[in-house]
Amino acid sequence: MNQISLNPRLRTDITFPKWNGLKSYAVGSALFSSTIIMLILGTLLIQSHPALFANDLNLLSEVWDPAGGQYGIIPMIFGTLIIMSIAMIIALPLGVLSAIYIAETRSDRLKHILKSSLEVLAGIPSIVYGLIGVAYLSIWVAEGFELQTGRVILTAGLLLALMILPTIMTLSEDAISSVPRAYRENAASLGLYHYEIIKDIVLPAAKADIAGAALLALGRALGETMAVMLVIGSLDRLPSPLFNVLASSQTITSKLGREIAESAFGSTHFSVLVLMSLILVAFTLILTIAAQKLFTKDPHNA
Amino acid sequence: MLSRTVKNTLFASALRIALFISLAILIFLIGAILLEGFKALSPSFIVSEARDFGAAGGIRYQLLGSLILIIVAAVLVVPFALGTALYRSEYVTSEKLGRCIDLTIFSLNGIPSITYGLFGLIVFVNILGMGVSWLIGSILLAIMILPTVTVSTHQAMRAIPNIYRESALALGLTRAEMVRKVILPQSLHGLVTGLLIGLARAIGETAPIMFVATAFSGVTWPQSIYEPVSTLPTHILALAQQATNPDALRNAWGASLSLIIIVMILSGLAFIARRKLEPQRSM
Amino acid sequence: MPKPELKLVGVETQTSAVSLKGFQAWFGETCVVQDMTLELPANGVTCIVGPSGSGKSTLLRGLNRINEDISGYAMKGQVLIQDSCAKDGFKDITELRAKVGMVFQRPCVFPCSIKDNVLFGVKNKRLSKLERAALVEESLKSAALWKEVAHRLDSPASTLSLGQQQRLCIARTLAVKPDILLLDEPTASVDPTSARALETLIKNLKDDYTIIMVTHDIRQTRRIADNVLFLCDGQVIEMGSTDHMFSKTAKPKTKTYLSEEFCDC
Repeated sequence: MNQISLNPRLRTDITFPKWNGLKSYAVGSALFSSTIIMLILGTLLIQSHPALFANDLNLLSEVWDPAGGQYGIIPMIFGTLIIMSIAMIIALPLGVLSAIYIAETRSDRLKHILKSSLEVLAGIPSIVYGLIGVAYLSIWVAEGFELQTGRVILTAGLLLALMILPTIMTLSEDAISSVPRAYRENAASLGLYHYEIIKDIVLPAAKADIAGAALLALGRALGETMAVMLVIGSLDRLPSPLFNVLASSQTITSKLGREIAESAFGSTHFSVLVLMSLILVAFTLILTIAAQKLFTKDPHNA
Repeated sequence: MLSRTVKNTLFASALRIALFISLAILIFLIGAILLEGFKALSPSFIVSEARDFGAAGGIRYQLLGSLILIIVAAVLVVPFALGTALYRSEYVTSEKLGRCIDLTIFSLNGIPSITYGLFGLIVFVNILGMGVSWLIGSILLAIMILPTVTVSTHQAMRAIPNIYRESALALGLTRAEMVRKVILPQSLHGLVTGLLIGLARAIGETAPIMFVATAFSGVTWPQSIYEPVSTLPTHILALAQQATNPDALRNAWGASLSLIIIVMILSGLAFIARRKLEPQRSM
Repeated sequence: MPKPELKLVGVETQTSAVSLKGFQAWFGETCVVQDMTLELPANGVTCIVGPSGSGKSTLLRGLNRINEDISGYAMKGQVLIQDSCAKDGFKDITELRAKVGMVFQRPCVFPCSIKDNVLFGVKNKRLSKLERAALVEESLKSAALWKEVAHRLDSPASTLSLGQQQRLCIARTLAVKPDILLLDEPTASVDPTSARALETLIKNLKDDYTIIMVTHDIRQTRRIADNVLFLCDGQVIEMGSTDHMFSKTAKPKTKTYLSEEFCDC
């Protein structure tokens, strides 16, 4: 350890060569950290280039048949969208309503227990959710609807709903709890019912943060691979009829998880997979940045 | 039109029902993991090798593989996270540049984990020709948790009151000395907490490492950096795919519970680190 | 043992707006208001005074049961609002709160327009457009704010000054047509000029409403109160007309406190 001299006249004589590099170290790491994202996006762009500029791949068709030169990605995009919609339709109202209950309850113990179990749940790795999907959900769906296989759109949607529920609940609860108590008291002393206090003042004041929570959850659902891959059934076809949620399907992520290892590096097949990944990244980045914007906005001046 | 009282009652019951469903889900998830997990978990399960593609035996090398991956990832991420946070907090002068760095780091956080796997496969395995190697897994996990660690460290640095910096400089310390004597010790808790939270997330990841760093079975302790390892998440994946075999399924639950226990330990340590290491400031 | 009922000293036959019988309030293990039995007269201004922590606000907030949303709060005894029990004498708690309006220390306008703020309490009632407009005008006039805001009813309420915001809060409460107004240090967070305007307003309102007000300001009490209730450590020390309380016949403790000397009670 160097002794620090407090005498200003001596100061100029002493140099610390090993700390001269501190700034360059900081600049270097910052530069490196900020360029990783460019590196990832650049790699994906270069590798998806062949697929983007080939004319005869029929990317926007509904047929996926690499052997026949057909690379339609519509089934995967449709699968991703429908599963996300199912998950959000279930998890958003359930999560927000439960969050209202938790935020408004007078029992500190209930609040504490719920909040800590939600944190535990939010930390469970997605592969474990996948296992729950395989061992329970898909079997229940198969038995409940008398299907041959329970690995269908509905199962994947339900499983995703379970996965994003803790996120939506904790973040919405934070948002609702942070609405100033004065709003509630003022509204209550005007003779409003609890329902009206929530609807007329609490939710409007918390809506930006709740929307942020929803977007964040949506981003997670979109990028989720392992759990979905195990219960989606991996069928590269549009369901028929289109909104038959009891059909097997495929999402972008499950497609990538199943086929990256099988396709040869540099082949058209590989390039199309990279292109799908690029689409996925674009969607999640938009969602993440939008969520970030909503969170930083002051909700009480809305 | 419903009357106000009826609406209020309906709403109250909607809240109760929602909470009831959420509670049921919570209890189901936690209960399933604990009950099924404890059926398989035992000391011998942890220390013995996997046999019959995981359906028999334990998780010895999977556990070790997971630990190597996150320990090396931790070693790799710390210098970059610390440097980036330091730059962001002590050297950035323009607000615009600062926000630019924030944006690139937040974006990294939003990238789906499977994309990291694809990126690693293209760059390390194919372009750099490293083959399937556990080191690639550590690198990818390090990149993945870089935002978490950086943001946590930066927040701790930002929380240091400016008067500390000014007093240090007024005492005649150079900027570098000020950073070393004041900023680093005072922000250590942010680095440690962020790192532990990041590792808790990293150890459960499957998608980024499954093409580039792991093999499903027959792997023991790696002899060099060019060999794959087996990890708990990939092991669970392999077992879940043979879920019709009750033995495989039982071991999958055992491995899941072990994994979750490690995640809980890391999160618990993060919680303790935040409380114990955070400097008490009177201001 | 219930204490003997406190009667107003120096005030003859008035109907009581609020009466308490053995009222106690608790936060967790701490008893904040101890066994209070008293009657507050209808109409006029009753000021509740006393040192910090004497239970003034808790008493006031017990009258419209707004404290019950705070965890750890519990109450015992009976609160009668115009001879109906606050606990079960009303159809539900919202009816009680509509009868007993409350304005808080910090003006709290909702993030919407001035007009919507005034109509906030009747938002969910079925009223025609004309009725709403009339209610806005009437309430704002009663709160002495109409002249200042009549031309910009649709601008955000947050653009008003703090003093105006406080009068808007009063207007909002008046729009629900209460009989009793609870004011919790209404002038404490506004500037002296606005505070004076609020005092004038309170004096004008007292013919139509029973006003019960917590204040720290002894001189303000003297200016506007008809009756004074002096609390200390959660107990009633004395209650009486303003003339009595500020006269020589008051109890020694009361005299000390109201003469703004150091009070060790």
